[in-house]
Amino acid sequence: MPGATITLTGSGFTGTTSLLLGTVAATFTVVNDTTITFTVPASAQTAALTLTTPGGVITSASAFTVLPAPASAPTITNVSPASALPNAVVTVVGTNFTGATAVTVNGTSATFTVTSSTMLTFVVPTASVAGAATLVIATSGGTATSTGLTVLPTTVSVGTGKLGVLNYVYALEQLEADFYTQVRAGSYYTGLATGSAEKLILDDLFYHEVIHREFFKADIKVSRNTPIPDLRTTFSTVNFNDRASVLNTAKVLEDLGVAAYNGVSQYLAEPAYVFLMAKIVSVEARHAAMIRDLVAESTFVGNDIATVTSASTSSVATNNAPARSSLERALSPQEVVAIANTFLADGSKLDVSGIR
Amino acid sequence: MNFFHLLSELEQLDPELGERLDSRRAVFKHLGGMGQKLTAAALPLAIGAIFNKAYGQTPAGLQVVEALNFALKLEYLELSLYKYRASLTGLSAPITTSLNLIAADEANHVAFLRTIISAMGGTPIAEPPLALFDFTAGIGSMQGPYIGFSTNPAVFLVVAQALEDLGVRAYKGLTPTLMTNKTMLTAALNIHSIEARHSAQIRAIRRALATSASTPPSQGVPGSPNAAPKSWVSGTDRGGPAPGSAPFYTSPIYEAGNKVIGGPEDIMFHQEANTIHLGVALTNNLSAAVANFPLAAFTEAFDEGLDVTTVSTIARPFVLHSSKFF
Repeated sequence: MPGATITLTGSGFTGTTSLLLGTVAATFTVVNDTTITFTVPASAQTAALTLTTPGGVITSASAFTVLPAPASAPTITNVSPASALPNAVVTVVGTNFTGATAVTVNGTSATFTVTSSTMLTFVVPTASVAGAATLVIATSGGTATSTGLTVLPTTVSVGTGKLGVLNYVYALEQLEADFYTQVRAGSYYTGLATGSAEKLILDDLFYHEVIHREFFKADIKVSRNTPIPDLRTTFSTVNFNDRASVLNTAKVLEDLGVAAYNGVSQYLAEPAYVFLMAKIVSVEARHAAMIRDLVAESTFVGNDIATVTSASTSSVATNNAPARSSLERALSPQEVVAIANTFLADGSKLDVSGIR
Repeated sequence: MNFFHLLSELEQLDPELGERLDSRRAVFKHLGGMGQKLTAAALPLAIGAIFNKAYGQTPAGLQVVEALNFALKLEYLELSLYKYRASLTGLSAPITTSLNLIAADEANHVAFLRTIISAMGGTPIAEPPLALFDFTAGIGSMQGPYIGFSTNPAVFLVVAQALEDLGVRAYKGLTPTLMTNKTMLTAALNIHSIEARHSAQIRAIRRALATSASTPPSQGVPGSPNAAPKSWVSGTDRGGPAPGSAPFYTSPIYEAGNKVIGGPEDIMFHQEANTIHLGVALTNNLSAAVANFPLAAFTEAFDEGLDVTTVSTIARPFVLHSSKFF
């Protein structure tokens, strides 16, 4: 292999002026007349040896086999982004990535692509546990290990107890507020006549939901607790330029909000907070009634959200009300987030398992 | 859910359960009686009621029944008003549809409350005859300020908005009492949000009639909070659909109530214009996000509750004085 020292034995070596491996000159030492040593050049390939001696030019009868040099161990100099969600693509910069055989995150194999000897990309494994992770890149020359990667949690936990409930409704208010913020940027809203009944309703709903959001954020801080971070919404299924798309989504969100407040009060121990939830839920119900009226006249109540003529199919036992009781849905936090999470981006989806 | 299996398991955990329940025979008889009125889907509610009876025979448990009976009185009041909808003249089809839907809900609420009060071991207050009510707010004189309510839609809708708004506030005021029984709390909240939808719709109808006297679309532009209110309470709505003082007018519906003596701590029955909740003041200074919001929005974003005494005082002109119904 290149770099290796080879010893030749023979005779008449004294005064040798050149040693070629194929056409590549090698550094050599004449030890004595019968012994010569040389170093296999880095660029040498399997070929015959040719010596130029005072006695003439000698070429070996058979080719000298040059073995491939072993690969050098890879190194990692940068991981970007340093924090990533499962399924996100991460770029690694370093050396000797050519021929990489495996990339693992906490021991789990990741799908990867070698871009060059100094760059590769990989996908954070789906099931990666949130937190500091160990990244390993393996090649035939060895492995490189980095702790420069943090796997982000795919969900936001609302927490437990009263804080869990407050963070949960804070999250839902964030969702509603962000929705109406985006509504106001779409051409359906901007095309409504100034001062029209429909535009005034959408303005009020935007104001109310943002106020709810800011209220809960402040209330959680008053209790010296930390509110959940700002959530990233994804309304990719909504066409904000289309009236029906906007209003039908608003209907889903407002009805969901009412059912969420109805279902979560039972987890609160303080009368003042049960009372607080009641002060907000009736405003959400007023919103829902008007959005539904914009969707279709005289649909402010219906079997889809209340047991007017049909029995409730909610999995919340306390709401398994009979037909013809006109009780509105109370949805459990789990039932609510199953819907709400479809409007929340990875990393912002809610984990409400702490509300019990 | 296998109810009988559940009872058996509970008895193993609590040998005295049988005594608490009087006797299993009595419970099953009790259940059987309800079975005629309840569908299978309602069983969890009934079970919640029975266990409240078994374990909750405390003053709090009694208060829950009393609170539900008070809600039942208000539902009778509303249901009785909507019985007059048939004699109204000149209603458009969508308004008729809306009133029919609301009337059906109120009848459903009455039936449901009666069932769960019985299941709790209480006695539901009997439905009074229609003649007990005076929707002119004349304390039985039938000559009160809302004379003509039974034929004139505009007057009828004033009374309807007043009673719906009162009902929404009343249910809120009952929540601190009802929360000792989570099943009943949730059931009451599930009625409460329907009442809020009614209030929003009645307000929308009044708004539409005031602004354009139109048939569909029902959405009119809000104007005077008295004649063309928003579907949410803005400030005190300047006294509501018929501004003026008690006992005959609607202003008290939007004003503050009484602090309940011996009631839950921290519950204040503020006026509807209140913008301070649990110490957080809602103003343009709350955060940059709301810096440019109209001040009315801060009052609209939260409704307020009312105590039983205040609700009764407001409702009293709507019943025969001698009835002592409220």
